Amino acid sequence: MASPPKLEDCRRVLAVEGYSDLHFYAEFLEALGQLEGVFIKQFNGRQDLATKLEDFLTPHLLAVKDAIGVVVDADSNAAKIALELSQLLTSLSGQPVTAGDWTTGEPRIGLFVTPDGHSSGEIESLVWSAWALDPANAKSRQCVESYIACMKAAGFEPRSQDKGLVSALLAVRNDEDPRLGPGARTKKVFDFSRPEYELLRQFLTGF
Amino acid sequence: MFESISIKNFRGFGNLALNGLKRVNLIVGKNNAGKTSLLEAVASLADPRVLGRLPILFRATHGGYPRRFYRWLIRDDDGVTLAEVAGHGWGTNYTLLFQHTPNPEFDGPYQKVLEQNGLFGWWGPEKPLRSQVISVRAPDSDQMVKTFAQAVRQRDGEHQIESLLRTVDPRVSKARVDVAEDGNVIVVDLGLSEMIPLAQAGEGMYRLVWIFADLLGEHPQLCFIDEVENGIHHSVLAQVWSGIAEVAQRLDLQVFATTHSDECLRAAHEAFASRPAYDLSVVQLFRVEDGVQGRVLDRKHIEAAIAGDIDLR
Repeated sequence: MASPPKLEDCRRVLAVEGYSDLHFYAEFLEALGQLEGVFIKQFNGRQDLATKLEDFLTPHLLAVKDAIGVVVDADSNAAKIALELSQLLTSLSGQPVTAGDWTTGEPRIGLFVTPDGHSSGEIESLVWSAWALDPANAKSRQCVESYIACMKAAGFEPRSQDKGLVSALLAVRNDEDPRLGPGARTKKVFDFSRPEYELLRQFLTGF
Repeated sequence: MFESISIKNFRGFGNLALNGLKRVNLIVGKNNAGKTSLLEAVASLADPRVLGRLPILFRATHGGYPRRFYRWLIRDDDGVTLAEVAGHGWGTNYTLLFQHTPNPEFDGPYQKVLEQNGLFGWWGPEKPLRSQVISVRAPDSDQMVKTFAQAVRQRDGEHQIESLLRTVDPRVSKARVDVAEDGNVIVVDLGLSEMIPLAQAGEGMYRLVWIFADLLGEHPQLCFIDEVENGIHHSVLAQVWSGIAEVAQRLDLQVFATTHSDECLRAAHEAFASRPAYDLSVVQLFRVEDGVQGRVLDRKHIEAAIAGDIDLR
């Protein structure tokens, strides 16, 4: 097994929220043929993300890298997180950063808010909609949705509907770790050529 | 305490401003990022009497090339003729200026503090701060006993050392010099059937007695420790930091320390997070293109970096 890349060896850096995201975006970038030379930094979760970015994006890092991208979940308010992080990245990099796009300066700075830049939700929302809309998955989709509906009826509602759906699916498809990233990376459950991924694909292709 | 320090054209620094300094300031950065240079700048600013021995103050391997050392004290850059280190603390402003030529304009407002090896230095205000450089190497037994004896000779010194040691190990009730046939040793009472030699009480304790004794004996206002983790096993780093935090507060002392170690940084955070006041800052230095840049990180940023596994070194 190849050792993970080192930050100092990579010219491009993608910052993501957590461990599962690291694996998911590694898989996505690999599917795009973009993974080579990219270091993916995960921050062990969303809490204090702005402060973590301030810590991570040092003047030294900004001086030595070609491109630095940040991908975060919208959660309940895409516009709010897009504004907050674009202002922070603008302040740190000295370049006007707009969500969904890359700057043209040095380094190129990009920000993408999942699932699509304007809707609430998270990366699992995008993944679930892409997987559920695939006709090949129609039958198993019914099973997963029925399971979540049944659990709700029993008084157990998932904190995030889409995370719950993806985890329920992966509990069967990748029973060692039902989180999105490990599921995507180890079992190739998801088809990244689906049209629902177009905006994310465009963003990461511009990396 | 120094609340802020600014450095212009001193050694590798182009223009560095550090604000929000705390009682204990842990300087981190990669090799050649300027950690030791920052110690040299602050130590010289606090007490310009150290300038004559600056080449060996923190650089034991520098050897006998003082002319070269002083030659490079002012940053080697086109048009740069003046280096300046300034700081605000203890209710006043401190300034240290260097030039390779005499400058009568500085002779009035400042004291001339250096004229050596082709370098001239001026300093103000009037009275230097008491400062102490703590060696990174634990001393041999004889030196340890001498330093300990000097500390406990002070009024209330013995009680101070013992109570400091109790803050990191509650079992300690006494620390004494034991006169033995084969030489004097420091012994500590840990509640065992007899007092045991300090060297057997653990590496962290040995290092702390050295640090405490050195500081209590000299009562400095500023203390400098280069590569604070050197020779200390990672498992006792938190204990050492607890001791440093306690002695700094009791003696109203400001500490500037450097480290290469992420474990050391985490241990310092752990020690300060468990105290009523979080009196720690991390001073992060990085080399960018031709110069050194830096910033001071507060508790919020230190905690976020640790939570996010972000390497601050």
